[in-house]
Amino acid sequence: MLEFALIAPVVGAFLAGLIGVSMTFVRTMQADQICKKTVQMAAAGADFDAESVKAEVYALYGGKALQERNAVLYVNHVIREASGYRQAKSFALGRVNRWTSAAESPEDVIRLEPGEDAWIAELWFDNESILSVITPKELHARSVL
Amino acid sequence: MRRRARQRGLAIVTFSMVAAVAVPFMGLAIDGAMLVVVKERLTTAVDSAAKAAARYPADETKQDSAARRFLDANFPEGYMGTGARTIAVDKGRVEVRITAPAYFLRLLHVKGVEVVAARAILWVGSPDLRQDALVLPPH
Repeated sequence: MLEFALIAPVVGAFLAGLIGVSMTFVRTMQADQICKKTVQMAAAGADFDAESVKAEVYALYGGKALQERNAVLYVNHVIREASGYRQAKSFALGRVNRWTSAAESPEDVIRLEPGEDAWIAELWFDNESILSVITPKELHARSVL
Repeated sequence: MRRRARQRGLAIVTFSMVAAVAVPFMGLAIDGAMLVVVKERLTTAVDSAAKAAARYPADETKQDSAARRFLDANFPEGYMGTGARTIAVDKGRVEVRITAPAYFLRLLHVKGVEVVAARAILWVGSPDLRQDALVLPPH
């Protein structure tokens, strides 16, 4: 009995660690997929202010976090002109007051030649979990197209 | 009394035997999951790089430059602990090879695993449709 009492916390900690790491992997994949999908939608001309497009984003795997405002998605269209970078379009979904978009200084994200443009989708995800000691508290994913 | 002592010893032996099998499997699962994430991110980055390269169908220098810049934006050098990166851009086809880190596989003397992602951009109507091609509308 004593052995089991000593071993149980070790096994418990091990399993908690494994679950924590697995959750991080799953959420990282979710965040990546949302960024990838939304950047493609944006490049295809989707208007993220439209309710139908918002519903499409919320329906994505992990998109519920945006609807519940545990995450924020920024989608920006950046154009490089001779005079510098210009943000042509900007969309935000979710909890905008918590995280800021890195696209405010797009030159930190991507180097574009004059005349080129890029779509940048960026997701900040609140990783609320009882295992937050093991998993990161925030996940950040980005996709540039 | 003797029987009880024998039972106590059994728990440790059982745990050791189970742990000897379970721990490497867990390690393998974590390394595997890590590789899946690296592969998925690299594939996204290569898709983006290939699309950027496709903007310059007639200029190979610009193709190479655009592909590298978009690749850097999505998957910078050393991202997620990855090692040396080789990029090949040839006629609208982008191929990237990186060495993904292995953590538990090191115990089996596997220091890293090579991950490859490739994408070619072709346009609708192109006669040479390869498996790894992204097909875009005519330009």
